[in-house]
Amino acid sequence: MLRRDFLKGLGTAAGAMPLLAATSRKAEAGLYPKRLIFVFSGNGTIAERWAPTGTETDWTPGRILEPLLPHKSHVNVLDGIKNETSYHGPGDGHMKGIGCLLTGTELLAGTQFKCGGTNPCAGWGGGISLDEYLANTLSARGQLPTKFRTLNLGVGVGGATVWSRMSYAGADRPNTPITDPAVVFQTVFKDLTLSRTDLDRLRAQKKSVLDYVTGRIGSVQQRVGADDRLKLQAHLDGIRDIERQLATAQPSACTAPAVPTATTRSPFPEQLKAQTDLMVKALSCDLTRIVTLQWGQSVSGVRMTWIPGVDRGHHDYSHDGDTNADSIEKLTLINRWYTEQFAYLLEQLKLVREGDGTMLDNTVVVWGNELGRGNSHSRERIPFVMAGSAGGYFRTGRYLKYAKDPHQNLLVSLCHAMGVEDQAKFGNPAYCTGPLRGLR
Amino acid sequence: MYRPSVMFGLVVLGAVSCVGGFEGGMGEGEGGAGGTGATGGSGGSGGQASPVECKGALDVGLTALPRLTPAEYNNTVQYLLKDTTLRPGDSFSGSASAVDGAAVSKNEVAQYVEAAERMAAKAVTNMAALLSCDTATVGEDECAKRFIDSFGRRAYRRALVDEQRNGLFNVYRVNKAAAGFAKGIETVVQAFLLSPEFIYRVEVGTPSGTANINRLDGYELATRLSYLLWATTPDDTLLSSAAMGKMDTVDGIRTEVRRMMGDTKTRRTITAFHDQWLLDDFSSLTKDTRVYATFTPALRQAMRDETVKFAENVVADGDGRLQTLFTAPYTMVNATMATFYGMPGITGTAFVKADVDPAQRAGLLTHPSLMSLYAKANMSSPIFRGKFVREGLLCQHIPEFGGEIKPPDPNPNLTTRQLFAEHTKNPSCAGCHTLMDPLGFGFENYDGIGRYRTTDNKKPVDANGEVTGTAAVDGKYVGAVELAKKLAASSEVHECVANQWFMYAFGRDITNKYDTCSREQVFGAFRSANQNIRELIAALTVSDAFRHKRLTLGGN
Repeated sequence: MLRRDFLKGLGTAAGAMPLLAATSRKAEAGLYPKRLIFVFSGNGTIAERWAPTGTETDWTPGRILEPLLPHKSHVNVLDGIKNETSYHGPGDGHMKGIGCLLTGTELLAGTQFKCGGTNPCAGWGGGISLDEYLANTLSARGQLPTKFRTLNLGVGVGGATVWSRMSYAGADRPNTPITDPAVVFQTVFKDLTLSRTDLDRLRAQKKSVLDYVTGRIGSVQQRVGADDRLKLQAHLDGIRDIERQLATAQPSACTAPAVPTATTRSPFPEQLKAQTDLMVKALSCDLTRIVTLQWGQSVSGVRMTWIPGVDRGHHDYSHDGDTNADSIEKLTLINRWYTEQFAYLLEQLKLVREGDGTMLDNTVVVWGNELGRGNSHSRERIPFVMAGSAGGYFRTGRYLKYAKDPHQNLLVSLCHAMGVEDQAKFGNPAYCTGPLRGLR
Repeated sequence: MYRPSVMFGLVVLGAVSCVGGFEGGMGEGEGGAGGTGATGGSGGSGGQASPVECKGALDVGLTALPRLTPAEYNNTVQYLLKDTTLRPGDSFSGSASAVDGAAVSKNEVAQYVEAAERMAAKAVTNMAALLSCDTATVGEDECAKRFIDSFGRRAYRRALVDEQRNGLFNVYRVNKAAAGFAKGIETVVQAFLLSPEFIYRVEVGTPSGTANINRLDGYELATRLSYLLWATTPDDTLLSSAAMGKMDTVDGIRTEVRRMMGDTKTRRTITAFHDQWLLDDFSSLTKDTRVYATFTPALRQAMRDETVKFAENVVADGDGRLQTLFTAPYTMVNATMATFYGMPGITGTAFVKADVDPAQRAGLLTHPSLMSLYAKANMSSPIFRGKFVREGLLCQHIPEFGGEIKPPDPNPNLTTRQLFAEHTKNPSCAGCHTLMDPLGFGFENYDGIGRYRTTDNKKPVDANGEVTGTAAVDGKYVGAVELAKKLAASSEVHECVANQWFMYAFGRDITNKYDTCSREQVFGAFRSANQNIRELIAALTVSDAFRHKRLTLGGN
């Protein structure tokens, strides 16, 4: 990897970081906002090559997690967390694995997806996801002043299916991740490239157009049936989001990053790096505090041919038997490559100074997967890795073993860490017992 | 990777039980039930049959507010802005079909805004092409008004009402005052492209006399026709027909359909349908290159093109019959596919008709695309192929095995068929696998990328198979060519194909009770027309489902 070559560009964000009012939390996080990043990669892992050996505090990562060594003191490895919800409701293992991951809610029944004969077949996700829930809750409490309530980013994410969506604005409301770095730039940073005068003019112009459009939505809503009205309401929500962005002041001390050169046709690693860099920049500028980042999707078929010896799609390998040593090795390399990308992300977060520490200290990064193991579709041992302490909320540097504790407990803990301290459960309460033990 | 498969495995005809075979479950499907499906008024092969009269109350299913698919969006903006280079939909992550029913997400709304701004900025760089009037002659404001009316009729697919006209002129006026005439027009174009009347197919209609069901008006019907047959917005002729009330009668609709089906844009629909029905996800298919080194992206693309070109050839240019689609002794090849088949003398990238060995190949079913898709990365798969036939062609349902499946890896000492023999020996496997394996074994003459073979791991291929669970074509067969003939003669397959088109047209699964009569209308017409797919498509457009809109499922 040529990782060191591109460290320079991002360092600027550190010095430029404005002092922010402590709007989000009165606690020790103090001057810097807390952030949540949820990273996804697919098709499960090879647990015996992933799991650390040793004790809670004195541990050695498995081969797959070795690239985390430089960040060990900032990391928690969560071994033995079960996606319990995904064993309920309609859908195949991949669908439920990704669709329940951030919602903790069973998928809806539906007819729009090939479902391999499960009955009933699955539709979209059945509830709001953690990112959206936190944004709604913190916004309602006046604790989320950022221009973008959340960002949903992706790399190599396929079309609109339940296999490819992790974030939900609500039941039946999948969020589409932005996969094109140019679109991320345009959406998140373009305004920073404009002069005050130009920006004001552009905003007035956009407002005039959107005023007309919202008027049309309202007018059409009055004339159509109830189901049509609901879809128009979702559209209106999207327009309102843009209007809110237009009305939010720009972070004055932040400059736009370079226009990304990667496109959706670039090699997967280039896209992934571009999206990661843009995400870190958006966080460091406090343009957003809550991000989901999908590296592929469930059933990801990416052919990771840049890894020596890998020539088949990821999902193809993941279905080979346990006795197929070659495929086990390839899956080890594939998952280790993703760990390298995770480590790169942590490095970038560490490069942004915040007071005596770095942005990583004020962030919690969670890396999840729709499966535990690919060939069996087991979801009993999801390879969760956490990094960053969310402003000292989590104790890090540990290897934590669980006995199939439900993953929704982790979602509760993340709510608490982000300042929603009164969250008792998340998702379907039947599969949640409270915050995840041992994290604090 | 996966896209929604609207065409596949959604249809439950009777309850198929894995245990103890499927007796008792089959034969309860609508096809055999008769019901109101009499083909009254059928004109036979002329294809001018009146729609089947539905007995009882009017009833149609619900598809909530269809949104333009990325492909439809591209075609539509290219037409509106007279710029064939516009393809913003390619970066939309929307569904290939309107069927998914998902509400728009905030990032998609942002994508629409971004695309509209980009396209509008480009459009006003050639104002002469955009405007139909000369500002020097009629004045800027008058020209803007005319533009709003003429562009608006196309963008909204109907004449504007004052509320729209005035709102748009206000957008123009405000932005012209701030930044000049061009900016006024540019923002009007943005406003059009961001309007719900543009992004969605808004259907209001008029009361039908049945609660919760409205009859579509002429413009709404014209829009449905255009997106179904052409995957784009109605042309001026169609809008004029709507304005003149010509869409208000079945005969009027038929006249338009005849005109439209003569247009090459209909091929978009034929292609899109077959892509979704047969080749879901094909573009991301990969193979184990140690086993199938020749399966390159270029070959994969050629295989896919072969199938859609063949479908176009049969449906648009040929006799249109389902039997031809299933059994034709020819296909469409370019140089890549000719090399694949070992056909000499065919060069170039264009696809031409070429005969195949009728003992080895028949119609769609033996296409390398399907044989590759319904195979494993390193070997053929009688299971995937049998499942495809059962679900995709017979529209029957195979329950999922709840346990953990450990598929066998290839064994150099066994044929693929021998490898899967366990399924029929082990009773816990046999329940479901008898639904798939005997249907799929007949394809064993085609390897995992569809090459014809007579040996597998140096042993002779055994292509004996058996059709089960059908009304009239059950029985043993040898090889996929014979299977294709059996399937082409099966009324279940005919009904399944009609239903696949129904799902494609309406974006809803066909298990809903509301569409029962409309499906019978379509299937009845298809049957009367000797399974002519052109007539099937035409029948869709005059069905009750096509001419009406259900507002809500409530109250039924």
